[in-house]
Amino acid sequence: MKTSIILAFLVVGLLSMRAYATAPTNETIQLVKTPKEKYAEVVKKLEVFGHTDDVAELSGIPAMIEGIWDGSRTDGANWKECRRLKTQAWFLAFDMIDKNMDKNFIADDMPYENMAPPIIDGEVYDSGISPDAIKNPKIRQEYENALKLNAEKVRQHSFQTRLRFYDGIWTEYVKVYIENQYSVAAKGDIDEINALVDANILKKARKEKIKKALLEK
Amino acid sequence: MKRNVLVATVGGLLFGAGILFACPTPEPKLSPTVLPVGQASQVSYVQWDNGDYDDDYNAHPSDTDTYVNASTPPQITVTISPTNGGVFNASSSSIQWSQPGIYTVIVSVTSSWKDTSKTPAQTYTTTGSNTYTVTVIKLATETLVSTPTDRSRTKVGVGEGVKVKLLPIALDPSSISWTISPTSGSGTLSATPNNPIIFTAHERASAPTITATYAGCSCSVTFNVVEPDSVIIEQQPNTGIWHVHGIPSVGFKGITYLHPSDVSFEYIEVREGDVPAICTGYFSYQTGLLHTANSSWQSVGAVVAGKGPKIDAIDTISGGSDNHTPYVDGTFTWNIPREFRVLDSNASKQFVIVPQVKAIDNTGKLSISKGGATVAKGLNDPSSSY
Repeated sequence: MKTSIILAFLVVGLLSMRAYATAPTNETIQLVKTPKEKYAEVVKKLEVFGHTDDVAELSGIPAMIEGIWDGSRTDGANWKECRRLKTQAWFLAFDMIDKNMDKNFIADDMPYENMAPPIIDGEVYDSGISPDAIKNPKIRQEYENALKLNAEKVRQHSFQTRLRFYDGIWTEYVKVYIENQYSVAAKGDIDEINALVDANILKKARKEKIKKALLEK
Repeated sequence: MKRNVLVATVGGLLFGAGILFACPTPEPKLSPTVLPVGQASQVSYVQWDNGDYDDDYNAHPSDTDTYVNASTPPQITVTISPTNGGVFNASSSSIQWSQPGIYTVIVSVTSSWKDTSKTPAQTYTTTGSNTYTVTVIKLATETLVSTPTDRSRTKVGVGEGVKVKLLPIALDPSSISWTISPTSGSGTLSATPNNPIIFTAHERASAPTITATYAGCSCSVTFNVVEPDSVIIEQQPNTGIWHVHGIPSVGFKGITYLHPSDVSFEYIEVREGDVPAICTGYFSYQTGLLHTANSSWQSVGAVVAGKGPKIDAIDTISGGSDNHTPYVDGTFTWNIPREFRVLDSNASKQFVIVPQVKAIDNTGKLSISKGGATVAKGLNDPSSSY
């Protein structure tokens, strides 16, 4: 009986030592990113978007920015730095939207979902038909060219539409964030917002919009 | 034992502050003091009776004092401040709460007692008061997009974002815990502790419940997250019907709206899929002809009132023939699959099949229909454009 108790202690002890020895692996370290690292990822994502003009790059931005900091203020002075990083990330995102928004965009000038092949020599084909089903090479070529141009128009239209959509949605995110983390009554808060707006946003209209959102609280 | 010295009355007459007696004082109670809108706080009281109390307002058999309850029942008065959110119901002794807020409630209970040691017996009136702070909470929701115009709706499209706020807003966010259930397939909540937070609906139909808990009291809201399930197509305003004189041909420009129409689908993209034609009669020669999907995903715009979320694209819906004769009845059908995906997801799902049907009769008249819209042109109608 005594022997088995001693053995049991030994086994538990050895297992504990093993667990301790293998405790912080590279994997576990990588899972815990600092707010600064998360901020850097947002900046990188925005840069990728700036190079590719791929609107899909923007879809995950709110979640990434949200992930920089959960809003808790339990770690003393550090939360102020976290708050600043998160605010700055939002402002950079808005600045990226501003830089890509085409002021001449006309939302009603929509692309086509299906197109009809051109009518040449009285040959009439149905809209949406596969180009491969068209035997007349001239019709097929013109049709393929039109589809290609339309595909680019879809991309451009979708890009501009999405920028406007994200602008509206992200504004709501920022309003919620500001409502939670800043106080109109605190001069320091107002000063921080104003300084970050001025440092990260170029467009005057955007600056005014954000400052208004703060005052709406 | 709790004895208070209070103004007393004898036979209903007030003796005044100069005549003081020691007598049992009721102690008002109010519970709960943190509760959701729509529920009630119950007013009650306990009677202190010579060191031994009961709360049924009946003389206790073992009591040794000489006080017995008078025939007048206890009187409860309630003062609520501010006054707009709660109503005291005397018959049920409860306060029904209708508005979120932080209220100051003063509950007073006045009891009448007889001192039977006196001859004749004397009647005393004693009043006990307590002041409570009552927090009445409520979850409010507001969709991030402005269409449909009812932004407090809880029926939302897949991927939609909704602001969820626990009222009153003066509550300390760090004292609020948020949960979403089921824990998977329900969507996500933005960073907490915060108030408000943002709920992002899942990419598939679901019924998540979001619960906010403050001081042990919970408020929940359940969302009905829906996928698109159908489309309607209308001819684009200010456009015509296309036809080539002498050839069976017809077409129009269509605008497509998604259904259900009472949610936003701005968080999704849609596109059509490939499908071969099914043909009969005159169009048998076109059997198997392939409809090729436009590989680009189309964005979905705001909800058009009375119609639904509009797909940001024009659908050319047209058909013709090789003009072989004689003309006989025939049909050409593409059962076109439509799929959607949420913006930040690559997981697409087919949600409807929309038939595009072209039909000819023995006069060469051709009609074409899709998504509920139909146009037709006779063979000898003059040529016309879209």
